[in-house]
Amino acid sequence: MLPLKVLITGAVGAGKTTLVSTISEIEPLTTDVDSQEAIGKNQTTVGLDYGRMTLKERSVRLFGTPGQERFDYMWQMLGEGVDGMIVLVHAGHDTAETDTEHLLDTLRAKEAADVPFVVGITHSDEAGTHPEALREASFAQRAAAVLTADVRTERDGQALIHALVDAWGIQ
Amino acid sequence: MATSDALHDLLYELSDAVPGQIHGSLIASRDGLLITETLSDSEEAERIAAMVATTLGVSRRMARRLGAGVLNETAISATERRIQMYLIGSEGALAVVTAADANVALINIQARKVVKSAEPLLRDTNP
Repeated sequence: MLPLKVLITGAVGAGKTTLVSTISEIEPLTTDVDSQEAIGKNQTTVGLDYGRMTLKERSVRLFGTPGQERFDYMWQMLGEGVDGMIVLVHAGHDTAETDTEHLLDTLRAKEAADVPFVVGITHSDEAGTHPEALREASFAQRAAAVLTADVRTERDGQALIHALVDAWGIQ
Repeated sequence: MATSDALHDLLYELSDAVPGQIHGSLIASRDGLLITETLSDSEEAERIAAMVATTLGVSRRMARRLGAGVLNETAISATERRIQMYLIGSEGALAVVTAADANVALINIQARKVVKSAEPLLRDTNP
């Protein structure tokens, strides 16, 4: 059987690199560098994150994208031929909804990634966040599932990938 | 003189040091933000700056995975142009667009001079 390809995407600071690290069974390949912008963290992905895992005896390749719009060519390159996506959304970012819609529009425009996706709402336990409002967003309505997730934990990382498995209908 | 002006002058000096062989160059931050450029299409420069960050980021990681050591440079060779890319310390990146048949050895020497001069300037602007 062909390995499945999963895109892990979302706007900057949502937790994409962390999720790849959490669920990958191999040491992930990352391309983090110091960030010169104030994005709520010190490091940012400029290329891709790559990891691999096994699901129901199938090999799954995990590709994490950069978050900033200036890297949108990487969204399209990495989005080619994907079987599904995990879209992470930071619950505390004011522009999370519009950034995520824009990102998904860009992927769909290239017909790269008109595939099932699940939404993971991250940082929802932090003060001043509004995870419930994000569940009403247009992209969330199109998602196969919407979960709140602490992507640092194996349990929540696995919950996201298994929601995608359910969307694929793999037994 | 503002840092970006000083960096811009470095790019012009680079161009003068290798007459007729350099079509443009840019300095960006390691996370892909344009700092200064002399490309013929300035609008495109912001997009290119992000791509330089991606290319150097992946190159550096590939070198490490292969046990090849510390990255010196990355080059793209195409039919009409060459693009040479260099890290500037831990903060920045330099990309130089040259003629396809340019003297690469000479451009490497001159570009490394720019890297050396630019490094303290970039470090001072990023506390």
